[in-house]
Amino acid sequence: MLAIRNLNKRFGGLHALRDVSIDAPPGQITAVIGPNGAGKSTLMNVISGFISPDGGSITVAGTPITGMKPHEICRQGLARTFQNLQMFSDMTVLETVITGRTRHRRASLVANLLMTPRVWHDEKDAAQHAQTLLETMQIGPSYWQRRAGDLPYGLQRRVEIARALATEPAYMLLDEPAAGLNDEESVALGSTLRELAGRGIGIVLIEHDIELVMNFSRHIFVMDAGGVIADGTPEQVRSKPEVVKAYLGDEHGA
Amino acid sequence: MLYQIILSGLTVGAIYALIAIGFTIVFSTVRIVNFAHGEFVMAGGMIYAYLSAVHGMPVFPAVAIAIGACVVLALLVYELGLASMDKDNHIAQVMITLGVGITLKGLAQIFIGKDTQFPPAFSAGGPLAVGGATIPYQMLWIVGALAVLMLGLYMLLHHTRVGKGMMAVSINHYAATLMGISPRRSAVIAFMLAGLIGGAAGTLLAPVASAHYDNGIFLGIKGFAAAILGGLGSPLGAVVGGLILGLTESVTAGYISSVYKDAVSLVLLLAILLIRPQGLIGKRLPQKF
Repeated sequence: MLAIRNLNKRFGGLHALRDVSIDAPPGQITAVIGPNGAGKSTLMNVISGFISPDGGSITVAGTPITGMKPHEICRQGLARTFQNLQMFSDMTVLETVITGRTRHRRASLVANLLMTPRVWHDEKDAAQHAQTLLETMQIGPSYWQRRAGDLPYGLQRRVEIARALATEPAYMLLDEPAAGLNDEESVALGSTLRELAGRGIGIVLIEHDIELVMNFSRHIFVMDAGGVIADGTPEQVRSKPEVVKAYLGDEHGA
Repeated sequence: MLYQIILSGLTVGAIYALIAIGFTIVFSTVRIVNFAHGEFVMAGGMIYAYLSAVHGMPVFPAVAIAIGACVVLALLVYELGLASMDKDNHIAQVMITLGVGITLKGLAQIFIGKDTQFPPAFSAGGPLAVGGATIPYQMLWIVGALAVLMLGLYMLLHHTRVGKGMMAVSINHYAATLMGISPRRSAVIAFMLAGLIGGAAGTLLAPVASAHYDNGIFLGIKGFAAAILGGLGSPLGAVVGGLILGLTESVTAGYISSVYKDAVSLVLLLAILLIRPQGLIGKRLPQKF
């Protein structure tokens, strides 16, 4: 379980997160939705260790990760992708995904400098693993040697997910993975995410694409003005008046 | 005459290139210019000279120890001087590297001495006579070392995850940390590589151009100029920049006057920076974090 308890964060007078508690179980897609400014991005940055919370706790499978550095949090099995693509643009697609496997390196630094046979073997394994992940994300071999930054937007999104998967995460935070995708691509993404969840990965989906969220997530948390205002299954959330109000404004309220 | 000028230009250029690589690697991963870097080169030459002159140590053990000492030195500079600093305070970090540089120079002066020293060349005999030009064996060592070290660096950066991690940090620091890559570890490796290559440059250079405690600043400036010329952040740029700088100096000294060689190379540097601010091979700097 990725358990977020009573998270609070203030930026000066702005209460960006108020007592946010979210549970994301393994093997399921949990969505976090909410209008712009609801605090979703702050939440992501707090979970991944770029912003330290003023209060509250985050645990991954029982291990507290609050206060850890971002790379340490990744090593606890929590990976993420980004709302604005954060690619290693000058690397090839394959290299980019292999980079996700840095924490799985077994040979010592000296062995790496000398490039011993073991290092070669290790690197070959990493490359094979990366290729499998690229195939999972439906990125064909013809793209593997292309410069990552030159790929079409939708493909870069998938490379980012493959890179996150390469860290072998137990939980994955996806920050608006469907942004910039067309309907067809978005549905394909949903099925891929469902498949990944089927492998036991707990997926936290932060998304504006309501169709994607409603069709593919098991549980939805709705945020507004820094707090969680509702949660439940897609059907439950859809009918809650406070959700409709947060999304559509007062005059449309139930 | 022309052959000789080109040969000596390439040799000096290879040394500049080796020094420039150290600036570039550290800049890519840590985003600071390490002004102590020239002192690593000085230390390499001085320690080699000291071990062979005072202790009568054979060439290769002495060179190996000198280079090893530079690696440790670089590691200490990072761990003691920079690692705990606020990573966004670049000015303070650069000031620390300046201070460390001055300290290293002082230590060399106190513990090794003020005399100019010429340690032995790596292999006895020579020079080779090839078509009207003479090539000292040390020249071959220098150019060969540049080739071997560049190949090694290329393999490390492109074919191991240690290297890919460093590249990832240099391209996108933010995303790299989220892939489980420790920025501190990348910085440590960058400094150790800079110490290794810088120390090697120092030992290679000392037999032809002497070792002296005061050489660090001048070597550092040349290496830094070469790195800027090629494009700070690009190892290939460092090599290209170093060779161009060396050749320019050599041609100026040979055909005009050695008095003007620094002036001409600086004019070249300014001209290139006006036309291509990112350097010859460098890319525009990625967004800052």
